[in-house]
Amino acid sequence: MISEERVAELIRTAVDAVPVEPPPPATFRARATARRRDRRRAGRIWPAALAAAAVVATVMVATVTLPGPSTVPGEESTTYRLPRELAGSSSATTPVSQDPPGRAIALFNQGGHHVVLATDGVTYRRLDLADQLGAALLSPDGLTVIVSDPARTTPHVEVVDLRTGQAQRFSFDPPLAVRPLAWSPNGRRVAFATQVSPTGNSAGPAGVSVLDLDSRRFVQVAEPRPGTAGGLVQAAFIAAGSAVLASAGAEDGCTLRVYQVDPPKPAEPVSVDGPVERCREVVTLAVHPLDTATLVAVGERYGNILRLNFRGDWLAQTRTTPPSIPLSSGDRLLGWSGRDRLYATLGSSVEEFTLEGGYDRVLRFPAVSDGPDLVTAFQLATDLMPETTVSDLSSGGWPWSLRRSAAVAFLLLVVTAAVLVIRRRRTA
Amino acid sequence: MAGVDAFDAVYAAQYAPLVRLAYVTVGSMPAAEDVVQDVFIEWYRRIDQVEAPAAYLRKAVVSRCSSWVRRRILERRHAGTFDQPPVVPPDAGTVAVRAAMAQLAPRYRMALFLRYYLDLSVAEVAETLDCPLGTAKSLLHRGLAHLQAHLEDR
Repeated sequence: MISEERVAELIRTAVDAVPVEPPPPATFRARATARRRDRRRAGRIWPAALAAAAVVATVMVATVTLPGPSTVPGEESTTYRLPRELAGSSSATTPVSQDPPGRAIALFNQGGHHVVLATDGVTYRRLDLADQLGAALLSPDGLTVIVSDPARTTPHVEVVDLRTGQAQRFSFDPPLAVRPLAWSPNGRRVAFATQVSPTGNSAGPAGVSVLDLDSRRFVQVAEPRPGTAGGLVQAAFIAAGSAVLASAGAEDGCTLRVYQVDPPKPAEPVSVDGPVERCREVVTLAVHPLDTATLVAVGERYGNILRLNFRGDWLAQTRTTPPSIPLSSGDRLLGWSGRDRLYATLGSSVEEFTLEGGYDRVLRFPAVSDGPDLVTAFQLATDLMPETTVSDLSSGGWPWSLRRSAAVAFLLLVVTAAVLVIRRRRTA
Repeated sequence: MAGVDAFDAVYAAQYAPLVRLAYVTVGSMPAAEDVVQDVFIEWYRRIDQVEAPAAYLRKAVVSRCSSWVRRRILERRHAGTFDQPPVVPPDAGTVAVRAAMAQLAPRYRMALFLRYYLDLSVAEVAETLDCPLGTAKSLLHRGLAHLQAHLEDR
């Protein structure tokens, strides 16, 4: 075997044969000095970079975590405001669940979305829950919206608080397809058209049920009336909410019946008004705020003709029955304004008109006949109207959540740009 | 200026052996020169803090070569074969030793180089390789046995 010494000698010979030409040592010293300078320069940049990063991080964290404005949009105004013309659909930038608008002055459908308008007159929010379920009704004080699904049977309805954006669920049994019809004047009860088997367009026959928000009781107060399919059941509370005045949809004679709520007697109306000759359907109704008698403005359809008529004992109220007023298809009563005036949607506007037939325009809808800006199913928080002023208002700025997201996106953009610039300079 | 003189002296004495050590380990002359030059630059930056420059440089070269080998960058590029250094054509014995060394793992090559080229003791080999004495002995024993068998066959 070859000895260890021989192996060592062979290794030395083989390794010595590897030619090595050392560069001048000054080259390494120069490179070492240059690297030291680079490190010093980098050391000078670090504090500034760290400070900038700290500022950016602080701003971002503060932007994301700090709460938004202390007051919600609808609560900012001490007086309520309505715009002369509603804004287009692009103004409803965020949903109620994300950015609650506070007290609302109006609720309407625009481009297939339910939209609430806050009492500042400029804040529009999409009522996302209503977009999911299909039907919504704004309370007279503008603080709450009842939301339900009229197209399928469900065991509950939702009550959305516009100050928090939170929904509270009210359950009932058995499940029903329900469409909200009217709030009681005190905001405690809500009347619904109810169907055991939904008819798709929620037209009759349908019964009427009342939900008491305090006791959470859901009781049927009127039975469905056979032969009334094709029209929507209409209802309104009377006698401070202890009774419901209801029409039965497309019922010949446009009969109005009063049903008791406490206790309910669904098969036995307390009183009946009608039939009216040649009247085919009640399309809208609004009960006069007078407590001592039931006076009603009723939109009635006679064939293809729609008219607003007035029922009840007007003579006993020391005045003659107001004259009939022509309506168009789609016109709806929004509520009374005091004792002598009514709010109604007439065409593409909301009008306040007197019982003698005079009109005052309250607001206009966007001037379109179709498309995403088209407004339908307009509702007004009528309790707020006496303290509401109408003025030229443009829609408000971005909501807080969008501003926050935009701020974060902007900062990220700045940081990314800065990093790119720094890297480019280094490679240069 | 004392630092410059010390650097030049150590550089003159250690550069070539360290390049050869690196070359034996990684199998590429350009890579070996890069490793050793970087080590000298790093040493110059902290020349006042290093008491035993030769040992420091050896350990640094071994460490960097191990890292290169571990990342397999050099292994993929040079695939276990040695670049043929230019200029002087090797004799038959040198070719045989290189072929036998090439069959060994880099760590064995380093151990044999340190022991038989630089004449380090087994303890110094262990310290340079940053391994226990027993491991260094094992590396040397197996590496030597491999070379003896390989060179005897020829």
